[in-house]
Amino acid sequence: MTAEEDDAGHHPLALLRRLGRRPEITPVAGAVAVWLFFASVAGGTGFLTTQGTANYLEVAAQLGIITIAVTLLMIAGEFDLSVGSMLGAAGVLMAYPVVELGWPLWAGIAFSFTGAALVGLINGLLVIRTALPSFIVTLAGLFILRGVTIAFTHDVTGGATQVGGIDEATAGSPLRSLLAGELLGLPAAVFWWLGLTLVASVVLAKTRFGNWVYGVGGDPDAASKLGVPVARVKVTLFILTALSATLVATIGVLANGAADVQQGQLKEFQAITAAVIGGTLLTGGYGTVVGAAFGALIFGMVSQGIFFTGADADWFQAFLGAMLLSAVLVNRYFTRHAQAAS
Amino acid sequence: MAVTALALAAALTAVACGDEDETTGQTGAKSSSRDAIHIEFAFAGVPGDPYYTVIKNGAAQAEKDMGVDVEYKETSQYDFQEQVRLIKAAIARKPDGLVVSEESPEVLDGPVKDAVDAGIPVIIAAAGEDSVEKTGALGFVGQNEFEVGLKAGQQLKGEGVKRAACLNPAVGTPNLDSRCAGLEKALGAGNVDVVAIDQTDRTSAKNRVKAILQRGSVDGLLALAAATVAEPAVAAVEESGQAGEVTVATIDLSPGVLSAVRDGKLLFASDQQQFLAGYLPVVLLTLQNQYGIRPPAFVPTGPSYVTKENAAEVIELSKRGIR
Amino acid sequence: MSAAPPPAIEARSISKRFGQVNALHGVSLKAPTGAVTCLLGDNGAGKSTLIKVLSGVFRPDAGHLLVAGSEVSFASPRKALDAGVSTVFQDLATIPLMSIVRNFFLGREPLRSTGLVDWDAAERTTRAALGEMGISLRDGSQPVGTLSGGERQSLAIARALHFGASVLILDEPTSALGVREAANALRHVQTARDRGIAVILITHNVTHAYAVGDGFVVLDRGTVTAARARSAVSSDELQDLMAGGGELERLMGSTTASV
Repeated sequence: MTAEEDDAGHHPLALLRRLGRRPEITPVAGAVAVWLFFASVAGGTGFLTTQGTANYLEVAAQLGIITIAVTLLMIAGEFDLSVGSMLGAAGVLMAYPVVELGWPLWAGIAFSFTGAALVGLINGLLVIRTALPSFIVTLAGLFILRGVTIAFTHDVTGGATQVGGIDEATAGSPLRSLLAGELLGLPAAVFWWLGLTLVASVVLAKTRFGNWVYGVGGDPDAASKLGVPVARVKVTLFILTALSATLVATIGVLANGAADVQQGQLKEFQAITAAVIGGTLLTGGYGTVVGAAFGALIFGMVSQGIFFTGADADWFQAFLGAMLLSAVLVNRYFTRHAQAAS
Repeated sequence: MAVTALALAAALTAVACGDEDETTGQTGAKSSSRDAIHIEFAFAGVPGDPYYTVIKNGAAQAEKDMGVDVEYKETSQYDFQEQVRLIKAAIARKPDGLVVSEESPEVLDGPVKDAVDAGIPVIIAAAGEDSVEKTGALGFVGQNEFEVGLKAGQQLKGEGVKRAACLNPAVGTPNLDSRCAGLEKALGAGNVDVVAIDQTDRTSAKNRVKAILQRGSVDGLLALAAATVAEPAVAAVEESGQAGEVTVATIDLSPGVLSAVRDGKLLFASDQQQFLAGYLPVVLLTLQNQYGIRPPAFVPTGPSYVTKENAAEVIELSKRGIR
Repeated sequence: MSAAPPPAIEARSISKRFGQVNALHGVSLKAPTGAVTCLLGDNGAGKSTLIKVLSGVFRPDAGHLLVAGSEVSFASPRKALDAGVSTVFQDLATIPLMSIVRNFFLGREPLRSTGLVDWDAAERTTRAALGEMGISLRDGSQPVGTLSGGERQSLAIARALHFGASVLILDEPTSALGVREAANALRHVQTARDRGIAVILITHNVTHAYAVGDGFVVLDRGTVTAARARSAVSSDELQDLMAGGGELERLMGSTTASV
């Protein structure tokens, strides 16, 4: 009896088998498992309400936006460890001119995006020209950007570590609602996250550039021989990671009312974790932004959910690690089970 | 061979001669001109941390006002082992005065005592008042963290708070934990939940507080840091619509927090006045070096309370990292 | 008298060095259209380097490159591809984690009017091209890593053929294959030649070379030691030329009588 004959008589199972082979199924299963866990343990304390859902979705969305760009870069075989520091720097780049120099909001935003694009360009060119691992180059960027941000802010504010007064300086601006407003009870960041995930997904699946990203990550030498502009692809992706950090920084500054030099620390680490939970390989050449979105969702649920359970805060970090590990293990189990059935 | 012997002899002579200068002991009179006085700070603050930045500003101002040379050294992370190394390096340089903040006495008492034994005048600042006797340091400039938490708790209790969440950005550091312990003493055992807050992500911080509020188990919040903890907490209370039911207070100041106090969203902000913890040790060590004046054993720098009445005047100073 | 058409691709006095090493020195080679030119030589002779110059991976330090009689300079592999020079490298340049269809069209993805890739047309084309090679494709989205070595070889050749090459360069296509798959590969070489493509076949296997070659060029330590048309050399002679100096020995030894 052939596989096809078996399929004909058991349609749902065949569909399940096909779904099971998709890389996205693992983080979806993980997300469902985590959600069920918190729903059962913390259901009564607000985890299941709209407010509770908006709570972890907001955190997931902000991490998720950065994770999209980080995932694309990882598929192409590179890492950007400077995104967290870029987030902090972009916040100050945007806030300082608006609050202290009286610029209009759109000008401050344009300024920070331009600065970020420049940083991304430098990152990309350094990686290409020096042929050093991007891990090292962007690690240096992590320290340099953070240090410059702290020193600069300390200097220009005459001694503080944040630039406040955003709310007053930007009151009534339509850009504010676009970036930090609310729709259907959810913060704007959630919609930005979902929209950008969709766009990135289409780019990977249906554009030339997307195919090139996979090719460059799978084998940059082969891709180059086949005529793919490897350097151009990589530099573009480094610029995208810097821009994604800037978008999140802008949303954060408008939502929080101030730019703070410490914001964004460890974000690069969290983004890579979300991407890996989502099914992207650390070695490059394989990955999915939809999976990464679920990875960010898992991260958001786990990092916020514990505070609904009323558990002792001392155990928070241990809990976070254990939940993440379980999510990955459930993912693995599900994939193997689905594959074994076929 | 002969050259090495000569070099060795020269080195030993230099050391022997050098030692003679150190026999005056800690309180001996060494009148040196001010610009020759070199004072070092060895702190475990993270660059960019708003609280430590104010201390740094205090030290910088004192450097200008006193005309001495001050070097403020801080660790790259909130890491006490790294601070130990900073202290050891300072001992090797033999400054005219050393200022150390002891957030972790178990780890830091030893190196501080070494500094004292090496003949360096030491002042403990910001945290660690109990270590003065143990280490032989000249004195302490700062506040008692337990007392700060206790007094804040008493004020909250006075407003009718029964259970509070202690919002701690660095759970595990002794001085911050002491504040939560003081709070618990004031409100009664079991009436305080310690909640870890991520300083580097305000959105996450705000949402964490919202989650706590949703559970409805507390009617008071004490934030242990201003900009990175209290501001998100105030936002969380507003967005949860619980502004009338939950009382919020904070230790530490920031422009945002002061605006909130002025607008009645925060009951009070307790100003540790840590500017003094950076400023006064420099003054005291300078005078000790010049005239042999022994610093007082204990200089309490705070807290002073900023309430609705006086918030407006303090805001400008907070913007500049002075309060 | 009409002039013969220029060779599809020609190298004139190409030199290439890497640091102290002279990989190629004054190498000339002509590959006529509709013919198989075999590039022979032992390991380290410089065959791979010459191929990389012809395919745009390296820039020569001296010498000229001509395509259809006009001088060209390839700044990148892309430029060589655009000029019609398709190369199947020894490592096949296939990416194991990517699907067969994505591999086939990497770098030359077909676009719809919307600017998005037409993967349906791509799948159909891939299926047809592989079919011509004798491979029936079950699922174009399966990763290339699931194909056998010989199938991957055929994919690489089919890819090079499909993109309208005027020159097809194959670097050691049979060295990693079994007998049957090698014969298959050589048949593809003949098919290409019959289509009018100039084929340059690199190999150190004289039997395979003689089976399909119309012209032979022998490289030894970066220089050309022999260039023969098929009519001017036998399989044994080719073997000697490959061994290096065998012909010279015979010439010198012709005066000594064997006792």
